[in-house]
Amino acid sequence: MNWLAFGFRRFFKRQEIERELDEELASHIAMETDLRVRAGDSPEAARSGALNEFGNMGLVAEVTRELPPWLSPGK
Amino acid sequence: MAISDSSRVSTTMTESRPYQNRIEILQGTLDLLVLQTLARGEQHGHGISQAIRARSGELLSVETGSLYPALHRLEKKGWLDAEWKSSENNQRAKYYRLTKAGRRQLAAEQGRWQLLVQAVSGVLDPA
Repeated sequence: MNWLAFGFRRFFKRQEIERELDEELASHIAMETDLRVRAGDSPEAARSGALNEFGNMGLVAEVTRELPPWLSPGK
Repeated sequence: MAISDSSRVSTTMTESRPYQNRIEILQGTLDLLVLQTLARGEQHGHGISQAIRARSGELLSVETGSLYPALHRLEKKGWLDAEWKSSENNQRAKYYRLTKAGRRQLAAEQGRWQLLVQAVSGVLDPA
């Protein structure tokens, strides 16, 4: 087996999974921001409120990534 | 009956008054809320949190720090499928839906919930 190629594939797969997760969390914040704007907030207040309500994005991403290794990798 | 999940997640109980209660609920209960919400149709994470808040009469607010790990865990267990799509506001979002295995898990979680309700009711019964 070509371990080097296997390692590269795993590395890029992991990068893709992390990028997707970041995009998913950013999408959540964008949707919450939109909701607040439609409710009457200014765009700045809406984004600030959305970020506040979301919490520490880096921590959420980290906890989401730290799933038990016995759970199989994403499709 | 013992509840097998020992992990805990926080869900904030929101009220219109400034005072807030923080209620610790078992991880299995959050799974139940998510699976039940998706039984009504596919939805993205933001939509799921909004739906839980609305259907609970604004009493339950699931923290994103609990919701996204739960969604990813349920997906990895094969109970949810996910697909990137354009949302109602033309934003790219990851939509989740129940798989067949997810529907079976939902039924199992509903059963456990009923048992928990009965158990707590039994303790609270003044008789």
